[in-house]
Amino acid sequence: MAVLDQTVDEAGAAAGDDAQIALLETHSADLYRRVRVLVGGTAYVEDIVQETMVQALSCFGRYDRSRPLGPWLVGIALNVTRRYWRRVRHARAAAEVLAGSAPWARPAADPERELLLRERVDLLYRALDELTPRVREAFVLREIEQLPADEVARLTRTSVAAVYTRVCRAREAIRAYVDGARGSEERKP
Amino acid sequence: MTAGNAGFDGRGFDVEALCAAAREHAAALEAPGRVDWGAVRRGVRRRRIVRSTAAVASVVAVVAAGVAATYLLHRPAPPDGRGAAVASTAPAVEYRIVRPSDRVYVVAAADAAIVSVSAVHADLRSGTVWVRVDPGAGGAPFAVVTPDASVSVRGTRFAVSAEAVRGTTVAVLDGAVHVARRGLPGVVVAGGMQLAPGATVPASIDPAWRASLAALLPGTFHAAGGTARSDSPGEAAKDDDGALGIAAADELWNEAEKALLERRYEAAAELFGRAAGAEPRAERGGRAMMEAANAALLAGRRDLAKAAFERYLAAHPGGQMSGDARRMLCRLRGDTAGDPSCETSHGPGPAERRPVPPADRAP
Repeated sequence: MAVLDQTVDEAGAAAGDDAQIALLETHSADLYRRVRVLVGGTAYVEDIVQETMVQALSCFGRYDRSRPLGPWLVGIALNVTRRYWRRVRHARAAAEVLAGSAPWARPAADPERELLLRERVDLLYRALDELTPRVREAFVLREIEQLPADEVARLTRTSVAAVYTRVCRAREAIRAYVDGARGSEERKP
Repeated sequence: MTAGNAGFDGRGFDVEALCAAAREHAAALEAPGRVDWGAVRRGVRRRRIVRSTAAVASVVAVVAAGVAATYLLHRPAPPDGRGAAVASTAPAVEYRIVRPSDRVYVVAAADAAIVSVSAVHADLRSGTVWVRVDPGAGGAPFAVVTPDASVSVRGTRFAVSAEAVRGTTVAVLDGAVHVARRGLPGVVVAGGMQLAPGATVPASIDPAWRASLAALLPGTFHAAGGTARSDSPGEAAKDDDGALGIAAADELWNEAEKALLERRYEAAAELFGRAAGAEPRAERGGRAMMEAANAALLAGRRDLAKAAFERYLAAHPGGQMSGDARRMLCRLRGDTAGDPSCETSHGPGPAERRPVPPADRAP
């Protein structure tokens, strides 16, 4: 059974913070990965995961124990992430003020490929920074995470039709942003 | 942006290629970090503290509003009839929190006219302030100055109420204050006592004053008292910014984020800096320092940004954003060549990441 599908009862959780923490810990790796995809692997990932866990532990009493814990946590993480997107955008913009180029490259086995990958990812996340939170989260969950549309709808509390509309809107906006970025790059002497 | 030379090896700028790159990149990142459960526990406790403080403050506000309204309605009107006019417009009670230094908390009624506040004084023209001065080693005396009195203290919890007609009332919950008034001898007011306008001898503190002092200035969060409940020795230091500091920081964060949204970057930098000052050792204080630095950069204020990054590193040398702070400082100084800390990826490297104490780890 996937971690995402476990329920508290199935996991045999007992009352008390320690038991809840033990249960939340089993979901932390998955949460880290999802938040990384949502915000693009910046230093804010740890903050977002931490804040998600604080909120989850603070309102654990409101969790419906008959349902899987994973989606509940992802829902909280989405709420937290929405607040962080603006900060992430500003941090990226501030880094650009100094760097004037893509952020720092990490030493890798294949530096050229790593650089290429990072440039693509930076480009995508800069384009995502321009989207509204609702459109952005629908696109990230559906197109990058490749979740089924009905699951995206459930996580974002909207209809499947709205998910498709938002994804479509996001694709158009990203395409326009990327074309604009390429155009301005080609115009440089 | 180097999109033009990104290559994209024949796949073009299609959205699918970018999404595939994002998936590959996420999978290639280091193993996920560990949740710092100690920090999570502190965060949960903070939320509980803020909630309970807000609840207590709202109860006190209701009680104080009732007391104030009753008092204003029943006090004898002065000969010129000004009292009646005041009684008909009894204001709703709200509070502002000012924290001019690490050891001084000032809670002011919304209608209090404070001319100026510094680490050593508050100039109160009219209205009521509740003050907590934590007795720090070698800390300078803090004084509240009203039009007719000066109330000075080294460490205590007390309230000062200045009224144009009646004069200044001083109520002391614990510690002692010295009250100097024009034309009257100096009086020392000890804990549990209050000094009415014109009186030369302190009397027992009014229960309403005692209740408001205890509620608005909780003694359990003394910075120097060490009475804050903590799960580990390290946590006391992190929690000693206190509930009032948290409440003040909440307010400043809201203002700062509003300024950021409105692209008033310099104002945002200043507000984040003040939010950081309200809880400098807390993790959120650290985040505020980084936000202040980023906002300062966006405002074109490299000097402020540099100071904010340095402040973060001084307060949180092993913090989650220490890697970013160091790299930004490198770039601000322009000395990236040969400095390995300027060459690594986002976030702290494994060596920089703060180790999670075994006690804080999940079982």
